[in-house]
Amino acid sequence: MNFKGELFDQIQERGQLPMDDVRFYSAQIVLVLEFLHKKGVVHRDLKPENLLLTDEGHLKLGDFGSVKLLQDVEMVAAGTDYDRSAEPERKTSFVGTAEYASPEVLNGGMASTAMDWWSFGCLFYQMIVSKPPFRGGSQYLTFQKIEQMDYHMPGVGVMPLEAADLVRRLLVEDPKQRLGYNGVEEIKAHAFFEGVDWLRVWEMTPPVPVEITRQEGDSEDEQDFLEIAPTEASHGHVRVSR
Amino acid sequence: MAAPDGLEDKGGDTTVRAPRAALSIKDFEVEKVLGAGSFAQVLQAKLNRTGKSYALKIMDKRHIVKQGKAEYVLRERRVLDALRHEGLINLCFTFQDPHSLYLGLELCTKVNFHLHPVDLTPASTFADTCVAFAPSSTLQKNI
Repeated sequence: MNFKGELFDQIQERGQLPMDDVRFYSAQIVLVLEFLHKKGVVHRDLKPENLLLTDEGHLKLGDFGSVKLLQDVEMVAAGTDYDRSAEPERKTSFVGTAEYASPEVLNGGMASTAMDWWSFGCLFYQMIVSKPPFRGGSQYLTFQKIEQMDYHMPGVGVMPLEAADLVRRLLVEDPKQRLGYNGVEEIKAHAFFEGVDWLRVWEMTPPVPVEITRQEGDSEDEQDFLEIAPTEASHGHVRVSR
Repeated sequence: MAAPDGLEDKGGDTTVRAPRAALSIKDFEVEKVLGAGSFAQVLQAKLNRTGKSYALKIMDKRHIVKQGKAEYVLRERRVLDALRHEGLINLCFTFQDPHSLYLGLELCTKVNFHLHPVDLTPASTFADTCVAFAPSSTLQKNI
């Protein structure tokens, strides 16, 4: 039986996600955010729980309960592209989830698409490190860590240089200095995504979902220790042309 | 865009892409609970007529009213309807009965990046979205 939803649990139990998988999932997230942002919609609650996996292994973003609209809902409904220069600035407030909230979301700053790029930075870090960069013992402590930009950058053995560079450019306090503020091209052009054919991301072969086999006699208590069935599946490969 | 699965908007509105379908919960076979909170629940449910399964998000109207969040619910519905992308969980249809609003969403499997039990109680899964509901005649008309 396949339990595709547990792929990430399994991989994380075994260490970091393979970098090609990180690249594949990240590229999909970048394209979805590009689409939303073009319509003036900021998701504002980008986090792992809101990313679901299809049977084919593609990601889908859900939960639009926290969206911030940068233009009138009528314009969104009509499919009008967002024009930043034509719209007044709007303030944001705290919604979403503490760990992925940008400093301006915490401080009631100006709303922009960069709020999502911050959250993407947290999510990107988490795919590699297996926990988000800012996590305190309480929501308050998490907020403090974010405001102090207090996070740990692991060594190159865990976080390759170009990935670390992307994290550093996304987790920037000033949204106007954050990568992506001036457009998605800034993100797409980053060295981490070198070799990604942005026009064909949806045609790329997704990481193969890991098949989880339940041994006979497994009790409910043992579910956390399910074994991963044979192997080639556990390293789903993303074919990125280089 | 044609309405998916042969469902039509009962108001005859062809501009909405996710039709307000003439359906009731009785048209579905509930397969499992995908999540539940105090404001709403999400079921995996199969539309008997077609055999296709959806994630059916069920929101309590009374709660929407109490919270004064009708506007947000409507907004969520309109935004979902306007945005179609293969990387999004798209809205397929909506319907309602006297007690509840129903959003028929594409069914996916949940990915969990977390190693540790997530701070994702059912409440927080839906709280953010589902805190957002309210009453009113607008709802009746538009959802």
